Amino acid sequence: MNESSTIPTPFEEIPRILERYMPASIAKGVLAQVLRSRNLVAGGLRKPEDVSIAIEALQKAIEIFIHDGSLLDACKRDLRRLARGREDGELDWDTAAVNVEITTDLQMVRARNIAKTMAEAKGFSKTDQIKIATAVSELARNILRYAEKGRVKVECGRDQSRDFIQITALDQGQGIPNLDEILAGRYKSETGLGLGILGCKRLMDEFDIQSVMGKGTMVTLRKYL
Amino acid sequence: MSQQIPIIRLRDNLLVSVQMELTDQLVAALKDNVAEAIRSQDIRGLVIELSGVDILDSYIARSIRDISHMARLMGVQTIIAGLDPCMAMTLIEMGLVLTGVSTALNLDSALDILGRSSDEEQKAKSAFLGRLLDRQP
Repeated sequence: MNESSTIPTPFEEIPRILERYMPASIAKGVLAQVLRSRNLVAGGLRKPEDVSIAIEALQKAIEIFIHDGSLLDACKRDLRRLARGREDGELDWDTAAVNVEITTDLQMVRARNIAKTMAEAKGFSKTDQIKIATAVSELARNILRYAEKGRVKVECGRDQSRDFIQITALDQGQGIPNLDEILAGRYKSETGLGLGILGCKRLMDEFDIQSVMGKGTMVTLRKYL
Repeated sequence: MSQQIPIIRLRDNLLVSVQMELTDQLVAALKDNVAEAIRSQDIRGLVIELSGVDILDSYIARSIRDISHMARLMGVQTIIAGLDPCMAMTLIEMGLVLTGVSTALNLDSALDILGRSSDEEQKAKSAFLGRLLDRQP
């Protein structure tokens, strides 16, 4: 299931990062120039040391092409992360999973940003990325508001040749009363609990909820590519 | 020490340009700050500019709507501008309909609308005064 051919090589990944910050043609040219200046061959970018050398040289080269300070910092950061990733091991987007504990507002923000990033990496459209991130935000907010503590898991997967991203929100709160009414769209709470859950259901392709009074709640959402 | 969403005064309008992650605290503080700004200054328009916002969940969207309604109750015309089309689509699909909220595509249009209505107000005032004076014996 995890073939190394699905993981992009540095030679493919570096231009992809650069293209976020400069035109594609320039990105290719910059990389070619850097490789030449360091006597590296594109196909030879397999050794972590060579990748590091290339990325170090790139950090300098991009300063000529990216004028905006914050964009330059962001590009350098992305390249550094790539260099580190090559040394520590590959992140396999096919089966990546991230768990976020939800106990504060900032963790809710972090969870939705992670979801958006994973969706983008997986190849979802911008609109789908927003939908996925919004759904995560709704679920995380419900955990914060009603259960005080819980966990959101965002993972990528594959089901019979269909790629998907799956969100699981788990808490040990008091459970959701009136669940049937909420899912039918009839319940209008003071605090807005119903709207969030129903909203999530509408945004995603698959939706499942298990809630036991006094024990907790688990919501599972899936969106297919 | 803690971050706050800045409120900028532009002639007799308030401009709130959100350029950071919207948390519950930030939105609550914004509501208080907007109320205070309207109360203490002669404001006739408010623009909430959202082009810097990535993700809007239903609660934050409703809170922004509440700020808009609150301003209107205080006599201030509110316009929400720069909402990303993907976000607008997401909110609609979720079933969240923001009623009673004026919107504009961007800051420019929003200020145009506010400028026009303040012009019309001026015209209406002068017309009214004119009629009053005509009726004087």
